[in-house]
Amino acid sequence: MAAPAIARHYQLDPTRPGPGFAGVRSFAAFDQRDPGPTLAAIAAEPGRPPRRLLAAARERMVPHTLPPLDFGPGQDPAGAEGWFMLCPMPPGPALAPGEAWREPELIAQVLIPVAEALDAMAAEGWTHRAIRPDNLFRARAGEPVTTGPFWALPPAVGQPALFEPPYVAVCPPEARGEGSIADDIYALGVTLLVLALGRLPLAGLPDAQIIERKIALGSFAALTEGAVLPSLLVDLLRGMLAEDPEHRPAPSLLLDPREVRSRRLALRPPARAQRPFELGSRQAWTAREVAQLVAADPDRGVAALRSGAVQHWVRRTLGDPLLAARMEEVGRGTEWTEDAGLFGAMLAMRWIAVLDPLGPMRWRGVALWPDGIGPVLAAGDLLSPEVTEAVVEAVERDAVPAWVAARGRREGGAVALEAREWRRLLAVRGWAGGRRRLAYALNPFLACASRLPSGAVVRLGELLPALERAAGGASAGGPPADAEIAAFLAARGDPVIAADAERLPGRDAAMLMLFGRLQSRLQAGKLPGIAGWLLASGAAGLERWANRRTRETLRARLASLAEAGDIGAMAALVEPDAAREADRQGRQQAAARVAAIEAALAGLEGEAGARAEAASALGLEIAGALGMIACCAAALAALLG
Amino acid sequence: MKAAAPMRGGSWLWVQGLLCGALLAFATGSAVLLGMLLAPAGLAFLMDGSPGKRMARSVLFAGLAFAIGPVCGLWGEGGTVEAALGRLGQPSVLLPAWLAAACGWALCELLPAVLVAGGRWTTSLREAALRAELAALREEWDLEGSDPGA
Repeated sequence: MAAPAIARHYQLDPTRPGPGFAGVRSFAAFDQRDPGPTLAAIAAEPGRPPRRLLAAARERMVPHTLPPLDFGPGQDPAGAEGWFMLCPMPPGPALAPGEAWREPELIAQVLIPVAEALDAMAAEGWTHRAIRPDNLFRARAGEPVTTGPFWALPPAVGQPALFEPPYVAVCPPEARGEGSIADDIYALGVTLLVLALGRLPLAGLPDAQIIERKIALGSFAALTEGAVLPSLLVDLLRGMLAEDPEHRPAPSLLLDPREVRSRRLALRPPARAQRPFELGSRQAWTAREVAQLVAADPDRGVAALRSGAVQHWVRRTLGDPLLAARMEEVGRGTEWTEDAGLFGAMLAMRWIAVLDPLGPMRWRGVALWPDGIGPVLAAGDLLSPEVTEAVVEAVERDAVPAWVAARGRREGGAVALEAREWRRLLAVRGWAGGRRRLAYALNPFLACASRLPSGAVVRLGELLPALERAAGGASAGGPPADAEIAAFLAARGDPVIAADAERLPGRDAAMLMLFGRLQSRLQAGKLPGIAGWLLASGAAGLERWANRRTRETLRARLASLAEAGDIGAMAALVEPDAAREADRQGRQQAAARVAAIEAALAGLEGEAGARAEAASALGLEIAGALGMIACCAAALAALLG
Repeated sequence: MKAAAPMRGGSWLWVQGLLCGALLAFATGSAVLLGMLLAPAGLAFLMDGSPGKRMARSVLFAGLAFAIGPVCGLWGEGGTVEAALGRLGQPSVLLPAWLAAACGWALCELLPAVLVAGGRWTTSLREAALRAELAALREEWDLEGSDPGA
């Protein structure tokens, strides 16, 4: 029996070789409607969700790139459930850095087509973040290259440190963020260099040393040291590998390389001091290097900064009184907190941002770009807990706006505003809040981590079918939603769904109402499995109804509606506030009546003796009265004769 | 005030003694007849230790109802001691008075017992009705609690 189709129309083809994209599981596939051209299917990686631009990239064709054609849940050839993205097969094999390319080929077949792609992406506000030789494909020699998928993984997560600007490479791969098109220009520059040399520069060095050399010497100098390159390429690379993203040429400029040459910028190297600043056994000669030292050893670095030693060195030795004054201003403006560690982290982050405004945010020793927070949270266990905790704390403590303000650059205003919303999401209590909520909110294609659904769930519409398939299975003991599903729904649903999800775990049939609304909004049709699951798990909140007869009536009607799969009607049945209020009042009245009866019964017990005494006394009084009446009658009879 | 109460009781006793003395002195026949007819009442006053002596009073009133006629008849015959003794010799005079006294005593024994039993019966009916209502309420509304006395 054939495996279920991916996105209704596509089928994996285990008989044909896959495209062999680097860093992802990919398969050959075909369209059931048109089995002609072979397609490529890329499986979404756990903890590495596709980028948020995936859906938009399907609608907007970018030249010289492999576009996503469709996506959805399915099964791989081994039968494992997954979520797949379909794209055309690459035109040929990936480029291999084995043979040195000549300059005209490099410009015509690599630079121009990739610059065209980047230009189109820049117009959309997108970035590629996966430009490297093994992600460039061409059918045969002489053909322009096509860039591979840029939408299947978080931005830059698969990029080696060599191909990223040092201030991006220093971050964990997940924390590199969307970046800017200038980062793609940098990656394209390194790619051109690699192809021109026919080898990897700085080969064999660990990433940390590559980054250090790039920071110390500048990327161009570090990467081209000892290399003999054509003059046009040297001019191009000097601009493309500039440290400041604003100094790199725009993609449109690269379409005419000679124009770039004519606009060559006279880049000033960073100011270098006469004597180094020493922190422990390490030395720094520039403000940027001092920032690196402080970032590498925050405790000692903050101590040096708080003592004023760094400011003194900057003012007197480096000769930059403006920078020193700015550092002092930031130090004074940092609000004191009870937690000394937190105060130190905030100070260090702000001082580093002042010393090196081009660098990433540094929080508790973790380097990150704020738009990389989403992929970091999505990665979860793939990263060390320290990194995740640091990132969460940075959001909780409003570190992002503080960092944006401290570095004093144009960009970042929007992310500072967004960061306040992120903090709000973290502070939401219940199932639908906390870091889960933030992870789903920042990663629109992050798969729901709940074990309850059967199959991968990435989009809102995929949840109910997956739960319906799972209904009645081994996992159906508890309710059909957990914290992961609640956070997923709150992040992906509209504000009404989010408000419903935020009531979980709640009383009063909150889950039933949430699923009822989902069924109606998503037009999911009849869902008898989920409806029965909800009923069996007590999600209808029948025990909250005090009146037994009402409860029995509701149970019977709910069972009938559950069989029909109408969760909305089930929710409507237990939802009316007036009925609930009447039930509540009825219970209160019944409780009052029970108390009165219990008091009356206790009174009957306690007053039995007194009542018997009173009855006895009354009997005696009656007997006396009868005697007196008889006496009076006799006296009257005697008088009357 | 506390000292006045025994004085007042004592004064009543004194008034009663004076009346009895006057009656013996000036209407000896009537006193003899009344004394015999109301002898059960006197016995009841001696035996009734309850405050208020309600049982003794009932016996007195019941006996007095059948003593008024003979005493009035005695006054028509001159009220002498002989006439009184003559009347006491008639069973139709002494027997009804003593039977009436006995009836007064019997009423004092029966009526309280009947009223106590009647009260208990109505109480048990009310208690049963309350317990039934309590059980119905608890079942209908799932109310917790112990039934006192159940």
